[in-house]
Amino acid sequence: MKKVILYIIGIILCLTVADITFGICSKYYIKNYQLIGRYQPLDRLIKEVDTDIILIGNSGILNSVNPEIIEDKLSMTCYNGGITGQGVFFFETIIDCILQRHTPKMIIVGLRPEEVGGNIGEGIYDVLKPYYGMGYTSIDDHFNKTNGFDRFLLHSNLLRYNTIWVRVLLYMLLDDTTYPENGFMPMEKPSKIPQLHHIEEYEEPVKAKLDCIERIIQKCKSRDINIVICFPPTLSHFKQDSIPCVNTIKDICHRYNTPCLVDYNNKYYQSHPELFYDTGHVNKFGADMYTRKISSYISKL
Amino acid sequence: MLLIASYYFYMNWEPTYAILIIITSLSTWGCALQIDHYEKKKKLIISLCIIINLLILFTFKYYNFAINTITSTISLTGFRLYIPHSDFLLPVGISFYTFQCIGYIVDVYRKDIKPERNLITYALFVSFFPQLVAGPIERAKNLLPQFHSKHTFNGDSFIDGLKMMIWGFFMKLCIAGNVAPYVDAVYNNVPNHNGTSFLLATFFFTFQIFCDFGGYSLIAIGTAKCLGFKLMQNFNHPYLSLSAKEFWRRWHISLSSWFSDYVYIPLGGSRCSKAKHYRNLMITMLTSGLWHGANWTFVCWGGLHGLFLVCNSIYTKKTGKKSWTPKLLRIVLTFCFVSFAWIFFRANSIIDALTIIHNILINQGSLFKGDGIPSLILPLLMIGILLFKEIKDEYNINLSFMHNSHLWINIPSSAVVIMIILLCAEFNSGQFIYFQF
Repeated sequence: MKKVILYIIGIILCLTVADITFGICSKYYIKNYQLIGRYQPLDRLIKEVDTDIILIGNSGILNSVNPEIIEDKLSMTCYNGGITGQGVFFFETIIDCILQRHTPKMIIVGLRPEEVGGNIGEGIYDVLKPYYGMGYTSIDDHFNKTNGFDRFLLHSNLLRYNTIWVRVLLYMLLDDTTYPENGFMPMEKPSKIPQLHHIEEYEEPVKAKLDCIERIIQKCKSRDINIVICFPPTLSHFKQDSIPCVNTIKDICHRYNTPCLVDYNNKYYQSHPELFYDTGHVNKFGADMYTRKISSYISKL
Repeated sequence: MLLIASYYFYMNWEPTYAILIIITSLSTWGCALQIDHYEKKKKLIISLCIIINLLILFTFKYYNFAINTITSTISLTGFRLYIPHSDFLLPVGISFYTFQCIGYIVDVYRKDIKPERNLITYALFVSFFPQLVAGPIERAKNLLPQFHSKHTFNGDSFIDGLKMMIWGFFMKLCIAGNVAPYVDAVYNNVPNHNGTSFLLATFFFTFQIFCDFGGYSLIAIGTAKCLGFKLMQNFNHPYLSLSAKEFWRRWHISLSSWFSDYVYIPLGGSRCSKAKHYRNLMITMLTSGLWHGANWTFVCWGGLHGLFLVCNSIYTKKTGKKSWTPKLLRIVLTFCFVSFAWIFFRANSIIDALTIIHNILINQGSLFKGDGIPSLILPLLMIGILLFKEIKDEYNINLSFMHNSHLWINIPSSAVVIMIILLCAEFNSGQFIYFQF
């Protein structure tokens, strides 16, 4: 019995020392340096970006809008803050983080119809764990809402940085991918042109997500930030021209006098599949074309 | 107490399916007593008992597969047949506990063991929670006596159990968990990938399946050990096998020995003509394939292993027991054969498997990097750690960390492994693969 107690206490002691040391080093690094590799765009968005226009969304916006074109056309600085695989709740958290330190002139939120429906979840919040307890109120609030055990686990620095540090180290050693300063990640023209994807059924909007979008609009309005909601082009053809998810967002935008650009079902794009990388994303040619459209729209605002 | 805990554990998943374990337990327990009592009718009783249990297994696991096979075969002749499908969910661990019970009843029939008279003890043998959902498929003569003996707390055994669990979690979470996203991305989207990506995905899957199941087995054996029970070893460095035959002595030992004892040997084993011996090998492996899942891909996987075993047997008979091939080459060749067969095991259909093989052989191309190079290197590093330990244990290299007799070495070593788990584990990798069997 004595041996078991010694073994367990020994392990707990080793882990505690390692955890505390690791936590101190990690906090110091995160505060003073920029994370690299695929964590770099998010890190930049949370800690540094101070442009006039900030684009928020997932890969739908990341691959669809070229900030260079907007900057040329509007003479305003612009950053594409699209993060792959995320959803509306995540967008709200990120917008809160940005607004905590910077007030841009305009925020453009890119959505997809299915994001407002039930299929896509909250977003991948794990990537925000390193920023927990670092003074970002919205991130702290999100994690403080999690259940008791998950919250308890957040106190472990080793677990909080699970898979992140090892990957950061490996990026340092192996990956020389540079992430563009303006965040835009264009997709190449694929060797095989994608085909139009027909969608027969569509989802009903989820109230919590609609509320979230409404909150985002309210927050921007209260700070005199122009907000634009857009649905970038896709190669997914919905059977009906108007679907509830998009209609409800349009209603919300109308209520708050917020511009809403709807192109997810744009016939022109859908008749030009060569502008796409796959059914969900435009390629760099499609992105340039779409950005020109957005720019001229914004310039009239 | 253990019985209540075991049923509680199982019922957390789907309470109603506990009825199936109760039926299996009651039928095999009752029949075993009857076999002992009515010597003359024991053949009839055992046949009835096995049929009942296999029927349950068939209904829940193979019914839809059989219907699909029948209807698609009939449709080839131009006729159309509609047979309704079943909506039953596959009960977790059904193949494991059914086989464990069949093994028990056959042992009683052969008089290898005496029937268990206490229903509670027998029900615990069937539902003992560490090994209920994915084995090891225990033998009655090993486990039942342990339920009768008194258990006192043994510190060394408890620590050993904890170490096994730690290593099991490392295998499951750090290796199987980290390779799973890549394997899924490639194998679930066959038309969009090339040979190089399939090759890496197959290499990863070879370790995923080992670490997923081997990791679970270690957690199960470790948990039982902490409670004072000794379960049989299920894996013994399988990827360091020198031949297909040896692989099956080291891989899923509880299942392969079950098939050996209750299928292969009753068929005649190797003590018969060459043709019959090869037939026995094929039947055993095809059945083993079908045991794994209701899909032709598993049957093909079993058939391939049967073929490997037949070739292995022919080669051994020709060259004698001494092989002049270097040991390392034999390990590598066996590993390649086994990995090749895993393609069928993992692919979603036989057509997918054939496309994958075609691409590996003919259509190489640039590697699909998934989430980036670090996401590929991380599992490779973890596999490196695993291989180091496997080689160290296999060849008794005198380098002891977690099992060092000095506490000042084994405590920090265990802590380092836990730290690696906390830092590198993929916690969202889903359930254990073998739970579906």
